Amino acid sequence: MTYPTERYLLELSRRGHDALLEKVRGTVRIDVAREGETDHWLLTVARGDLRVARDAGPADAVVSGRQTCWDGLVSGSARALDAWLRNELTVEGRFELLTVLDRLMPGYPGARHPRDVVREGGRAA
Amino acid sequence: MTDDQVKILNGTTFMVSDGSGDVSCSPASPMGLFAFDTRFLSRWQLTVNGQPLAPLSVDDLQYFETRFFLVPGPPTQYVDAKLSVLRQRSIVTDLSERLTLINHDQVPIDLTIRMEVGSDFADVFEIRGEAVKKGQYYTRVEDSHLCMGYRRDQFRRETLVICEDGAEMDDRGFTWRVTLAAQQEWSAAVQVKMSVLDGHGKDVRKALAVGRLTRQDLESDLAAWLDRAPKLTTDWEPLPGTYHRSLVDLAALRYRTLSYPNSTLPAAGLPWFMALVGRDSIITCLQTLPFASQLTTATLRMLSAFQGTQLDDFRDEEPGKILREFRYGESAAFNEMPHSPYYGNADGTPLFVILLDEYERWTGDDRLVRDYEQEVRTALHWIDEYGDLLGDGYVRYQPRNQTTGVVNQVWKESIDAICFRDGRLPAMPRATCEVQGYAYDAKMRGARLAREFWDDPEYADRLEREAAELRDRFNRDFWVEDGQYYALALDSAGSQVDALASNMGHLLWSGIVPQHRAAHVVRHLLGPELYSGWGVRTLATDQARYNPIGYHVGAVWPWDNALIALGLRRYGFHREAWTIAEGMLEAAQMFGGRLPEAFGGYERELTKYPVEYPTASSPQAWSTGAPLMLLRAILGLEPHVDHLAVTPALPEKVGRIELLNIRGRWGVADAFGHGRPPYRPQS
Repeated sequence: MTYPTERYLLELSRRGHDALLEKVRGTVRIDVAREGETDHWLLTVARGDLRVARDAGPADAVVSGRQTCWDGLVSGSARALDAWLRNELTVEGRFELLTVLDRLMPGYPGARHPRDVVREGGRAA
Repeated sequence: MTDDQVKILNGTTFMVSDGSGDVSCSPASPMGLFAFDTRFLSRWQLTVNGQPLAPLSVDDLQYFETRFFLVPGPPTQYVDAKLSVLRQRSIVTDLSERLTLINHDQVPIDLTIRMEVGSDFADVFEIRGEAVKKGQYYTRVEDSHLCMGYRRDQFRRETLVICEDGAEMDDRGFTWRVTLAAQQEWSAAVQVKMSVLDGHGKDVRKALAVGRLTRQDLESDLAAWLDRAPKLTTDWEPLPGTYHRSLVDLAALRYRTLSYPNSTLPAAGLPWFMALVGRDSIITCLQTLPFASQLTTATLRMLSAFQGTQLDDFRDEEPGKILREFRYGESAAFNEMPHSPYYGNADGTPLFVILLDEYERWTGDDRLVRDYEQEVRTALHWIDEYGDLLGDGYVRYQPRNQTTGVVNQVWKESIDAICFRDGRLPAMPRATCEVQGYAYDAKMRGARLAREFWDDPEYADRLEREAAELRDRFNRDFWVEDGQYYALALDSAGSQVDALASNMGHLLWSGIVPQHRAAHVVRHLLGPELYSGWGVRTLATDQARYNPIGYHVGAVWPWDNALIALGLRRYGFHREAWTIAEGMLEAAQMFGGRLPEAFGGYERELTKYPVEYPTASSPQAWSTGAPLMLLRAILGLEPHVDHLAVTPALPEKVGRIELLNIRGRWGVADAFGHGRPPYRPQS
């Protein structure tokens, strides 16, 4: 059975290009710890082009966490840096690639455009 | 911060103690040993035979090193002291302290040397209140080690105290029992290691290049830093000491980040803001470009890496927005505070564009300008799409995070800072005047970048057109006709928030003021209500909320004044620029060359000495950089095509000011200024 992180990563590989990552070159291995096993995904970023594959090989950064943590990140309800600060994620290798990962995650569910907030009288979500 | 506190620092790692070198912690006092926004020591108290020690003197050896000369007992017993105690401490990566005791007596003495040790692992946001920790503390004692730890879920911080030479360790500290013969000396060292433990139990601080440095490395690094900076020679007394102090304090505030461990950027200020603060970093870089442009490279890279990408109400984040502040502490980790990072600021984004353009103008390094094209475009898009909250062409702010967000998302963040003349507070969203100036300037500079580097003349034309429209609109809506000045802000209905404040001085720096209005602005800035004799107050004395020690409603801020001085030069008000520079640099001299974050707005005639704001940070990066920007202003340093233009404006009483070895796109250049009879004001 597929899980949210898996679905998100597969979708990411279909996205192909991200203009904000054009300066980035590197590989991130995403280790998702699930019951009794760990899934390995390799994200390759080369001048904004993205590729995701199931791969347990070496990478510039290895980011590991439990499936629940990853599922939170791909839903937008949690952020990679906070998860790292809480030690729900660990990073080995090039730390700045964690930021790249954060950029690829969706926004907070229900977050609003500031203009909409003003129109609605400024109430916080 | 009180005067008798002793601070040493190295980037974002720092220690604040009392004059004896002790740390005792109360909610009101920010003493302790700190790193990564966490207090790793909240108790560090030395006694000898049960007596606390009194200071005879303190030598600040380096910014990262200090030495205390102490004697046992309260100060009244100085004359009978038969024992000297020296405490020498330094912060390289961690804390090292060497204790030396000297028996001056003719007879042996038995000594019990005791250090009480404790850590509350308070988050920097908890210091001012009573910390109620949600996690658990633990302590381990092993031979010569005392390990104190704090754990909350998987979040872990540890302080490891390591003693040499046979100390007895217990869970509250350590003790040496020694017998000192007549005239004999005893010495021992202790180390305090701070660990920010990751999910594998590894210390993430080790990843920072600084972790491999030694004390000698720091010394040679400081020497190289000073050597690289331009050399100042002058017969004008207030300047040399302050210049040197500024350079050293900037060196002290440099720190490394996990993302880019090979370069350094300035932390905002000790003790409350030993972190990346977008606005403060950008301003500090603008101040230091002619002196140390390497700080700008690292700052731009870090701010770009964390440029907003999403809508996030909790963080007040929007795509393209530059962060306000980045913290690594417990409250950020557990989302009790939104600072990992927090984006609530309306000015950082246009200032980011300004800094990148200014960086190229000084250094000629076009690589960064090309590399960050996408980021600058996104930032400029933010101004129109997310900054313009009402769609009326002004950048405004209104926090979406109303519990832990910042209310006033401009440099004057205090809750009462943005007010009407009569003291009322305007409705949100608010558009402060200086931010419109920044937005105008950002568009103008963005246009230059688009035309000269990105080969996009259409975009350049569009930005210039928008900038011109903004300038016209701004001059129509913000100009207070019956007072002849710019309103501090517009409220949600577009009405003028008519307080007379220092903010409009920034408009001169941005160039949004038409020449015919500049003289009116200058008349107010240097008039008795705003100008204290030391500098321009944040708020004029005849405004309802004026308070000479009101943080943003009366106090004088050095960086604010430095920017104003540069603006005055831009509009040809050379004498007035000098007046500001002179007052500020004379004030600096009275603070031992170190301008605090802010000082009281009292009339200079009244106090004779500038009165430091009670809880001001010091050193504070943008106050440290302020004398450098003032120096730039009085020498009239401007990059011009491929050379450095120098147009000094110094009065006769200043003989000469020479600044040699100014690095930039011209290679290395020198600036010479000589005093002349006073310039005529332009008005």
